[in-house]
Amino acid sequence: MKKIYMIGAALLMLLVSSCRETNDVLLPYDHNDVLAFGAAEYSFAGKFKVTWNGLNQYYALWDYEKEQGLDWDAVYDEYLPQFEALDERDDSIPVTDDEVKELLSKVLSPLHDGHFAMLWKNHVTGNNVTCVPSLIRNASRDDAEIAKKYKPNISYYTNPANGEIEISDGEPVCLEYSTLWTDMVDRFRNTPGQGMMWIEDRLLQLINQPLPTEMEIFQRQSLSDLSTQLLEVLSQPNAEQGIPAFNSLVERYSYLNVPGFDAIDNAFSQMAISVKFALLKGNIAYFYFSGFRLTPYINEEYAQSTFNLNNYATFNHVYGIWSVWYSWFETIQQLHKEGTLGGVIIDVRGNGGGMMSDAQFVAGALLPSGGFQYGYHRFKRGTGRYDYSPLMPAIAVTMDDEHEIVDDKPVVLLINSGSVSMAEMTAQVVRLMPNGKLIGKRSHGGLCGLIDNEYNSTNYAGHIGIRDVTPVYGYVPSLASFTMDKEQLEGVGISPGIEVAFDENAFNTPTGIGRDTQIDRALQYVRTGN
Amino acid sequence: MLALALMTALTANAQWRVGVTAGADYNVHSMDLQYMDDFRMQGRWGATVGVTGQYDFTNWLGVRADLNWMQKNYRQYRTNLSEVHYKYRNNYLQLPVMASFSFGGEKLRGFCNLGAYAGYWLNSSRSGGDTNVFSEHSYDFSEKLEFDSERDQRWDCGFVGGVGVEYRLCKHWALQAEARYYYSTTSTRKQYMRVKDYRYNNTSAIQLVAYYIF
Repeated sequence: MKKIYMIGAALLMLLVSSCRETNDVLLPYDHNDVLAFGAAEYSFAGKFKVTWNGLNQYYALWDYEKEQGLDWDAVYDEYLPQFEALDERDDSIPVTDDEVKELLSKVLSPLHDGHFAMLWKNHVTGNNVTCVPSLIRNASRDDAEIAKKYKPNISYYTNPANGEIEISDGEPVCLEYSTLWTDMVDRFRNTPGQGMMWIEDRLLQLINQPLPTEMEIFQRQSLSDLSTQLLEVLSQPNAEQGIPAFNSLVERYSYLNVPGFDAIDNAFSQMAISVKFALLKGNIAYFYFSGFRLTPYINEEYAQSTFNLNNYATFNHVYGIWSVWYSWFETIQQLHKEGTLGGVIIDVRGNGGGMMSDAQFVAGALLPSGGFQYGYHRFKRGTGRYDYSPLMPAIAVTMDDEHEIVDDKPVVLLINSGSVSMAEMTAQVVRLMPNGKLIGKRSHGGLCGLIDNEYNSTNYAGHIGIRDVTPVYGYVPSLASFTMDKEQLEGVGISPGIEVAFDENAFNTPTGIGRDTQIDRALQYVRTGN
Repeated sequence: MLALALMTALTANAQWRVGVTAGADYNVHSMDLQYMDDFRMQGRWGATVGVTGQYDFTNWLGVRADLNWMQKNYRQYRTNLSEVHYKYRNNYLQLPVMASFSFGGEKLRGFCNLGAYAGYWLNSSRSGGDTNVFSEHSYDFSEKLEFDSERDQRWDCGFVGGVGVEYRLCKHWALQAEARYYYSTTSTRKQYMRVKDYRYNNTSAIQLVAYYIF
């Protein structure tokens, strides 16, 4: 009898335990896992599965995408066969990068995150294929081309003849500096008595020498070689290629002692920035910066760890940027104390974002210390699509050091479709300020944040694979960003309080750089309140 | 089992009894953590109260049904992110139906219940701490969780079993102490995506019952 009871109990336990289902096995896509990425090395279907599963686990906005009508499971069913078809294609008809890009774009373009980028290595051609859904989506915006084409240029306003600039000691109150590669090239080419101009003048001198010495012949030959090589190096489109090539020439031709021909710190390839300050008529402090990379120039500790400040040329560049920002900041302090500040215009048009710590030097320099809540953040907290943290306050850093609180004068932020990420966070801050106003065109729609550390996926979000290592790499949002009303604007952007288009014809006049209609509108608002 | 009981000739001992139950339960939420090796799931205590009715066919066999409010709480934390720790509180209404087998004397008897239950997930909330690495702030929070009809399975069912002792106070009153176990066979997650993600509750309870015997 006992045996019957025991067999019965065992059968019962078996019956009971078999009533629960088993989960699918999840593979980790946040590092170079052979099992996860193996098939993606040689198969388009393998790359697609990595992409689909990686996003399924790590993308932070699935609830939002569902509200927007996206069925991610249906995407798998629809597109896997199409990628399998690419794998099955005969070798005589190789799969081109354009084909891969087109198909990948169809898969990813419905996703709304404004930062997200996916990079596939096409194993057939050996080339990288990149897809950035927000660029596809924003290409149809009415100011998309303008935002790409035009960076703020205030030369019209800083020209005393146009009556828009404050004058002090007979000089317009304005300052600008840039460590962008293109601007460094421009300075090197066009500064009298230095760089290319010195080389050309010296060459002309040596060529016209009636009886050159051996040394002069040698110098002429060297300068000629240098000039030829410089023309090629200076035409490099970006700092990543240009700076190392330039520095190589500096080292090789140092014996020529060309003034202004100094090595460029490699840090400028990642930390380059352009800044402009102007005190416009009515004591309106205008500040433009091309990216949120002010911290390495303003924070001493950060500057020491980023740049080789023992190098005179590097120190000058860093000082150049700092002094523009400081002029803007100090002007506000002085005028606000005196009660004569007219207002502040911060220009983040075409600004792609960057460091969060920059907030304290821009809008945070006008607000009380202690931080400023501009919305909420929500993080991924697991590999399930809807495994989220609670909404947590999103706090912008404000300046700790004693400073003037500008809550009694208009503060305008200029935005357009090229204003992304930290530029949009700044827009959220200014929009909430009682004296703040957004002017321009709707921002990009990239408010969610990303974590820079490629190995930090403790939020089970952030990256799929490793750039330049795995055949699939994805830069994925680590969090969802919400407004104070708990609204999501990802893929949509922040609308300005006053919408105004940039008029190309007003800007590009036959006689040179003309008026910027968006700056004009900002000035009108600050001066009149309308 | 029930059919067998019903087919048994009713004896003169057949009788109804009704009662109230109260006790504590300890729930463990099972989920496959896969490669999330810094996740830890811990059980939590909760409360349970309810009403019960039993029809005894014989002095050793009856059928019992309860209607309980039961909490199925659990805790989740991360060893890699010490600021992240959540306590979940889930309230259920449950209807276990069991065969009840008893043995022993008149005053003190042992019993064993075996059956199945159905339940409904009434509401859910969580509290704890989390951290915003972008704002470099940690926060305590407490929030009600909204159900997602695509994701959350609000109906629950499974097997239930318990053992206990009963003390007969007098002709019409008895007290029971029971240790019970609920084995859910319904995942708290619907299969809302092609990747299967099943999660289950496993609930132990210790409860006292006061019976009125007709």
